[in-house]
Amino acid sequence: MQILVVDDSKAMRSIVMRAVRQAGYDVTFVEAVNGAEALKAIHASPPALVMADWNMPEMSGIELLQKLRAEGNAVKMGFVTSESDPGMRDQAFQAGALFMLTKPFTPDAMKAVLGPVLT
Amino acid sequence: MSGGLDHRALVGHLEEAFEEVARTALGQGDVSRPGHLDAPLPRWQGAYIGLVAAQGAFQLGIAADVAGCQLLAKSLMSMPESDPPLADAELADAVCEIANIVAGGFKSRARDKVGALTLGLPVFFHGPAQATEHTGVLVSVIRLGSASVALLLVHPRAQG
Repeated sequence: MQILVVDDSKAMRSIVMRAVRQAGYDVTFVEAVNGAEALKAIHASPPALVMADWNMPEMSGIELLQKLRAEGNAVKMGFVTSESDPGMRDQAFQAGALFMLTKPFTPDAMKAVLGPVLT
Repeated sequence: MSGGLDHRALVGHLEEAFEEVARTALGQGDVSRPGHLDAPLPRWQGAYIGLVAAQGAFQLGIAADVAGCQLLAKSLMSMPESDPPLADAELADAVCEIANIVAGGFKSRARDKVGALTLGLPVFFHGPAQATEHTGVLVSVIRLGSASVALLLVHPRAQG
């Protein structure tokens, strides 16, 4: 199973990947630094799940999700972001996000969002 | 105060947001607030992130000396403090991410006072933010283990 981790921070990509492994998932990772790079990676090899930051240069996480859905791509996607604004959560879920995990997150919070998505 | 924002009151939210991140994402239990400074310290480095509210824009910053920034970055990445120093790019990336996470916590805490806030992208800097006739800088110092970390709020001064 492959997970695409999209964040402009290399440190945060590492933290997310480590947290997923610590949650007990034996997966491989692909990384992208923004939505535009993620879109290319998804077209090249659709992952089982996209975990994306919200605020990124070039193309944000929500722009990525909206673009995917506009082209009919139903790849599973959730956000790992410092944003917790209720309006943004609504926007994310209306666009088809499966979860919105707020940084800083605990290992239990990571497990809780991945459980329903990866089973 | 300027543009309807009480910047001094917002510093408290910045302190709370940083302390939460220090205890959770950075795993630092030894956090205290020794006080405030009138000006940023000249040799410090760190990250700024812009926030835009309906009443105006301002920047939040997190700064420390080189050893303090190394501690922040290594803590975020769950690395022992005794590990070799991170390269400049890795250090900047990690401190910018801490600023981003802190800004998210600040945003949720300040929602009642400020309303909707839009976050920008963080940038790394060397040296202090310069207060001017038009720009004020509020600085709060947090002790994080062996390091002192400055929390900065850079804001437009009231005109007229």
